[in-house]
Amino acid sequence: MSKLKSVIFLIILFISSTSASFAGENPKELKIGESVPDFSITNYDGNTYSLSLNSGYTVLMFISCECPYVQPYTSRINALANEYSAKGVTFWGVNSNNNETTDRVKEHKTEKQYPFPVLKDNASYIADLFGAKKTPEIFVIDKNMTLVYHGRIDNDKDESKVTSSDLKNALEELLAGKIVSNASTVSFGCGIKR
Amino acid sequence: MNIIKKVIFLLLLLSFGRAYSQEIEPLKNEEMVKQIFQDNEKKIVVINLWAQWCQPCKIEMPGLVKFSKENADDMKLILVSLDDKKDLETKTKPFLKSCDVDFISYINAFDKDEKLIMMLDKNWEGAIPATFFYKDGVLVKSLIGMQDEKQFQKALNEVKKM
Repeated sequence: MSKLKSVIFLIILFISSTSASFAGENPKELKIGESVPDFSITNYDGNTYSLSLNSGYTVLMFISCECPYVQPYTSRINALANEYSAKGVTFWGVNSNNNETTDRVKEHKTEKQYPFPVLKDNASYIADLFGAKKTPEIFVIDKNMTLVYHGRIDNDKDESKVTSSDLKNALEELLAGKIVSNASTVSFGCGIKR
Repeated sequence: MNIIKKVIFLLLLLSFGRAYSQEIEPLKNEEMVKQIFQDNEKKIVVINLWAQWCQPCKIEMPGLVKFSKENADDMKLILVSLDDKKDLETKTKPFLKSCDVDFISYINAFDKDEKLIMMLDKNWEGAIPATFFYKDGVLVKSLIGMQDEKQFQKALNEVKKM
């Protein structure tokens, strides 16, 4: 009887913890230097993407097909992805907006000629794991699954007014074996529609 | 008599036009924000960041405006739009008009967005809609994400008790 009670208790505990991790009501706030949660997602492109299997640095970019704070960045993120992929950095776009369909995400990737996969994050699962709140929002993770940069791509959506290329600077420092000097940055963006 | 009627009509027209003129000023720097706090020192200042391209911002706006009018004795609502200047006449102002915004509002004109973000709430990452409550110029409550009228009212009631 006692064993039965224990089993029931464990089942309840498992169900409640599972549903909590998928609820997304209180996304975890990740801090620089903290371990990030792993995830594995089977994407519409037929591939499975598992964060912990990446070697080197991973740049997770929460993006949107519509947000006016994302669209002006197309050429800049494509250039960054091309330049740093060649140096061993993995770039993944993530679309967590529940109002943007998989078909629209596929179309958008083609339109923008993104040279990196865009993961369709159904139910905003990855956004909840990372506590991502808006687009664009960038997380850089090292091979030990530690958060090493969080924030913006640069400090102005108008490319002609940029005075601080924060993501690029962070990648340069990381690849030079240094600690990122400005590892946490802010910018306006569109709230992720969960 | 005819002339008097015309004059009255014109005056009514002018007053109507004034009541519904969507005056939007550029919010350029910290000094302007501090001036807003000073001008409303006896009230709770509620600053809302929005944009006409932001659907949740547009959904919450009518309730926010109604809430602010019902609590006009206690608070002052400051709307700050993140729209591009080119959309001001064609999109921003018509939307504000549709929400009965008959007071001066603002468009972000800080030279760098992070200055406005850090000034409003150092813990805010910049996602909109976002609404901030200030008492004596000090941030006392932040509401990030879309809210309804009841949530705004609940927050104001909490802030009034502080």
